[in-house]
Amino acid sequence: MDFVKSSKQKPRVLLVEDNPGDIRLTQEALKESEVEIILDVVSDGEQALDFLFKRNKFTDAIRPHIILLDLNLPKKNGIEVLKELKAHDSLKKIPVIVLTTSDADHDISKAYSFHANCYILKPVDFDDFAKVIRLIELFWFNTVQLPNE
Amino acid sequence: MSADLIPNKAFFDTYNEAVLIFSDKQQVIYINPAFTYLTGFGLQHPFEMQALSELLIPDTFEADGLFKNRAYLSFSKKDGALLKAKVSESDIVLSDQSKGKFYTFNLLPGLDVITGGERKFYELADASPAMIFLQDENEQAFYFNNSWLTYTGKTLKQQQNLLWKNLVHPDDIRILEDLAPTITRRKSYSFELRLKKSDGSYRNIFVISTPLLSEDRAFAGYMSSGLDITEVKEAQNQISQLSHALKQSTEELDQFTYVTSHDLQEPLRMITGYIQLIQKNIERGNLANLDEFMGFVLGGASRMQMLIADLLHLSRVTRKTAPFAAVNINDVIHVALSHLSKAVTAGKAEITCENMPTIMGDTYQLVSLFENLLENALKFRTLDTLSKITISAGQKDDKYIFQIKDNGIGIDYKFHKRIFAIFQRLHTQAEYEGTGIGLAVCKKIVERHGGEIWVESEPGKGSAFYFSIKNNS
Repeated sequence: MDFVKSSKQKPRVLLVEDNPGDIRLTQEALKESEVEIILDVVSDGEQALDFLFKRNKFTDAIRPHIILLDLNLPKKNGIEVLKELKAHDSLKKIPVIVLTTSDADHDISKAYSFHANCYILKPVDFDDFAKVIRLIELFWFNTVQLPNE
Repeated sequence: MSADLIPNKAFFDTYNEAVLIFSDKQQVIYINPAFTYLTGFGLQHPFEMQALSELLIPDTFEADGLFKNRAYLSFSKKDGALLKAKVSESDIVLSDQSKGKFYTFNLLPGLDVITGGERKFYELADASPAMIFLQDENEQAFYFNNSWLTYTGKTLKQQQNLLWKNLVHPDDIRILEDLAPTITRRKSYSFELRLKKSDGSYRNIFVISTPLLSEDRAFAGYMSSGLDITEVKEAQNQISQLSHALKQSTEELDQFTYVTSHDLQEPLRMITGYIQLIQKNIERGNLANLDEFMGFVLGGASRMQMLIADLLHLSRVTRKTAPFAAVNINDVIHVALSHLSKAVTAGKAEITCENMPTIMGDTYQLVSLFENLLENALKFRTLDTLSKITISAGQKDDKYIFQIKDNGIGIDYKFHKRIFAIFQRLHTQAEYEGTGIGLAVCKKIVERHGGEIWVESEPGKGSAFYFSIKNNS
């Protein structure tokens, strides 16, 4: 049974992305999907950790089911976020999908070394971008079983 | 005439070492039979006496006492073969009470009579570009070839009388001392040291020394040949410096290409993505968000433009370097501020500047440096507060230290290093626009001026950027 059918909750995604254009594109791409996905957005690495640890201005934050993580971020970069997240007993269970423009071997290798769950290149084309978002949704919310916290 | 002047002539006639006596007029007045036996010269004919004086190799043999005590002498036998001997000189009172000079000749072991073959050796040695010298079994040098003498600017005689080690650079004497055990074992050895040249300069000489053996295979000294390798060494140093610089610049370039392609792709993706989205929405008849989407397209384009302009600037700073000249920093700041006049007015900034020194540097780069730092001070200002920027300079050791201090938003300690790397940004575009190139440019410029750049800052307490510039004047 997939997540959407088995759970009464709406699927929640945390998008860690500093580029407003990408944020908006992701929102647009998600509009095309059949199920309603709740998207939270933070725009740098520190905010991402604050959100997940429910610190500072994010004390009311709700734990996401998956995280879409850009690598090139202000303040704390994506790798640093991964490192802290995957060292935490509970938060490490949240699948992290690295979604970035970097196709550099050392970025890919580093992301997986710090236990990224998958690594996806941002397509240049909007249709391809929408397709990637759709695939993420299909795979993580309609195919796999996610942990219950 | 002459023989009568010799006291104890009968003794010298039977003496088994070769003896030669000069008069006070520096003419040969006596040679004993042993000398005739050794050299082939006799005094039966006055012309032979004359010939003897002339045949003694002029550079090495003068009757002026220069080879007092023990010295070495090479001269021609009557048959043309070269003779090599140790010579001892002493004064002698002649029968008429005039003062003469008395010389005895001891043939060198292993090198005693220079036959035709050995003569060829000396000719060859003198024609060789290598610096060759010979030492006897007591390590005393008795022969130096032309190349050596040209290098040291000494005559053979002067060189024979001067310990050649006196020409070795004081710091390199220990190299010879370290070799002592090898020399005692009479093994071949090689070494490299600095040797004083005729012009007083020291050059690097590489020397190989091999033992000489006499006919009965006994150790007879060393033959050494040296080459001036100063230029080779300099070239080597230069190559290793260049290859180090090349490696560094290749690494920088790799990093640069990677980051650049990544950062240039970002706005391009925005342009392409949003144009497609607009197209799609138009096809669907959904015209609601077109303005907003168009904004992203234009934003991408202008960001692309900004990136390219900054990259060009960075490339210009590193590529188009001018030779250093005296630069008045007061003028530099004046020019930098004129470029920023808009921002200065917009930020309602109050800028105070001490009197600045004149330093050696690249004017264009220094303007860029101050412009970037001042631009940051103006950009990252505390909202609703009057920007206060102070520029000051001081001196520490051989460096000038400049400070640009603001009362802006400040920077957390953990970012104090990262901000100087290319494309590293602490803020989103929405908060503060920028490309992340400015401080990378500053770092490059400061490094080219032999200095360092750093920041002292705390969030909310303003920032003070410091950089040092080597004082070359």
